[in-house]
Amino acid sequence: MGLAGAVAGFVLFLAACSKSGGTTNNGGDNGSPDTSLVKLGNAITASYQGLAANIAPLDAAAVAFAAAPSPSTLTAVQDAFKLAYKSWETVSQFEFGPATDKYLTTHFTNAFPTDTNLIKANMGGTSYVIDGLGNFAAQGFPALDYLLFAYGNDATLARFTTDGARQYLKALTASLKTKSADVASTWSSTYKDKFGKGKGTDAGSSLSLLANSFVFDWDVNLQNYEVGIPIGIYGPTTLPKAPAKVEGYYSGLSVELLAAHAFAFVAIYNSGINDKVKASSAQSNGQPLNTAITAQWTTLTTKVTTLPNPLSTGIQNNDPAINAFFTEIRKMTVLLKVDMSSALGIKISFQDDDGD
Amino acid sequence: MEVILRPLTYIIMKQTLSKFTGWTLAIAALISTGCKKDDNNSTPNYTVPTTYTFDNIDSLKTKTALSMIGKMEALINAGNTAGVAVDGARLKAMFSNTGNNFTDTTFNGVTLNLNASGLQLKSGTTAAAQVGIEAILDSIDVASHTGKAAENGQAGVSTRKTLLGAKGIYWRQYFTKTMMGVYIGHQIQDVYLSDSLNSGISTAAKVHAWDQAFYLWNVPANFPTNRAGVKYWGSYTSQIDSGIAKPVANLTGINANPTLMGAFLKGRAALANNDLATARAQAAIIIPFFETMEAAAALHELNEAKGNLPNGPAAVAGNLSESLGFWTALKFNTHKKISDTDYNAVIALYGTNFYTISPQGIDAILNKISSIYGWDAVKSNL
Repeated sequence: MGLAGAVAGFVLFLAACSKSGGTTNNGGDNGSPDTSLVKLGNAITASYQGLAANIAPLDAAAVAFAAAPSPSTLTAVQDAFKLAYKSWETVSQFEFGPATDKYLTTHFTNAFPTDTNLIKANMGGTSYVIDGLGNFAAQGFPALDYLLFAYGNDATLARFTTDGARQYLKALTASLKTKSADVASTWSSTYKDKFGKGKGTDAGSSLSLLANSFVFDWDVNLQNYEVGIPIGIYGPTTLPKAPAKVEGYYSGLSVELLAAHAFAFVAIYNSGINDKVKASSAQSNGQPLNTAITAQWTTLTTKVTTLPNPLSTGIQNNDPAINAFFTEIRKMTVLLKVDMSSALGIKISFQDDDGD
Repeated sequence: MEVILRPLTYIIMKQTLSKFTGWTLAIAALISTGCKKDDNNSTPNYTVPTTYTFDNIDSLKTKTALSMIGKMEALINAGNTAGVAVDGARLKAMFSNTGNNFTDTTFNGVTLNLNASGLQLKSGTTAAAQVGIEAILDSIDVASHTGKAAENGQAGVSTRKTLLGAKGIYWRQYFTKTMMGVYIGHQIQDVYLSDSLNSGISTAAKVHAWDQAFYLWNVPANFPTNRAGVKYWGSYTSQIDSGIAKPVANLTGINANPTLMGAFLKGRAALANNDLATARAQAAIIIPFFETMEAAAALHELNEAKGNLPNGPAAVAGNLSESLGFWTALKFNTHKKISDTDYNAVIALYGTNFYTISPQGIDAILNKISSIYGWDAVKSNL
């Protein structure tokens, strides 16, 4: 961040703080909504509706496959899974309000690598509750990724000769269906309006909730889990390479998911966060901060499509494109976590331990 | 500082106010807070101090009992290390103080001989709960002998170094939280503030009984200004006053600290001045308040459990065990007002296996307790 940017951000931060007198709580209905927040609320609602709309057919395809496993029903459920998983990448930025209330969060929906031993035990007759405490590491999309793809279609069809596997598959998709429908309907029926009116920058304001979750998802989920840990970099620490720790390892969807995730960040940024950044007049290296962020989005969305596919193979082959892409991700982390948050007057309250 | 001016008030009420114009205004402000009328106007005036600082305080039995609980916890905690077996028979012998299983202890500079104290936790525990406590101690023995890692269906030591039962209960916490009701709460409510206060023992003995009750709360004399060394209820009254937000900033919960401190100070000052009626009135504040505290603490631990969800099942199961411990304590609280139907509805929501409870299931317990006690406005702050 340039000096001018720092000064501008600091001034705005003070200005934002000076008017924080309890009128900026997201819980309160304080009159007219904020235009940018309304745009963002509409975009987020649409993302959740898209997720629910893609999970419903996944659940239906899972039920059909479980009833009659065959190459064609398997392909159908695999295709539905891919669409639904990519939809997940468009909502993981919003872990507040309905998503946390209904536990439709990364922890419960997209924790990878999944616990294959637990999945096998559950399929083999261990008593389980799909959303139970003991089952956190064996649920959501990564569990489906394993069940529907691991070791090829022949192995998958063989897996589903047991009733345990069929029941487990249906339990996984049913849980996702219920939770995603619930969150989508809460956003559209009540939370969208509340979000639009939650003005200000205090902790609890809509912009603070969104910015914190948005930056967390970028920094921790996309940067560290989707790329950093698989290539063996965690903050200043170098770890052994772990290609099997990529997202969507069994389906080989890692690059498609990463791309969907990156494009979703751009879309949300351009749905109203950009207005707030422009209004701040914050600078970065002698140019408007919004220009710098937009240019970096372009770099990222261009480069993501050129990554070796799947990522796990590229990591095994030491493809330099992945590390180069990781460097670009980290540049964006600084722009979002430091420059954007101070331009918006938002305190980033999460802490990770990777040192950036 | 609150000044009790009962006899003066009595006089004022009998006299024309004009004779006292010089000081009636000052007194008038105090009448509404501290006065109780009765006809015993021989009682001297006394002041209620703001800290538990009185002549001739006796807290020896309390310190002995709390030391015994602490020693039992230490032995139970040994089982949190994989491969270390805990002898349930020894735990039960400690519970009934037989066989010289305690070592002497120093508690705030006072050396206590526990074995020879003549005090036993078991006989001091609510009779109906004694068997249940011994069953916990037996279960600890069994779980510590498996030599296995804890997982669903398997008792053993968890990844968080806690000895869990096959259904995820963290025995040490369940023991402690249950004992906070069936021993500590029972002693305060039924022994020191009921039996002693209503018996024919001397006033001096009643004063000492009151002291035991206060020190069983386990807070320092100048609490809550000083929170050093608080344990058991001394820790939890702060937690349920300010919720999971740390550090403690505002009273957002059930005001347990001011309620208990105010009543304990006023009652002790009253007893020291032969004002038994006021002391009983204070006891009547404290005794039923344990139900509020037990229910609030059970709810508080559910909030903690939700906060621990990202840390995995062993962490969450630990909080649930604490919560269930408080709810178990409530079962044996003979002063509780909650209906059996409501009580059992909550028990049903805890289920029979913590590994299979879902986050939504935790919310369901929390919401049920909140609705029973009318805490919806503060439930997230408890």
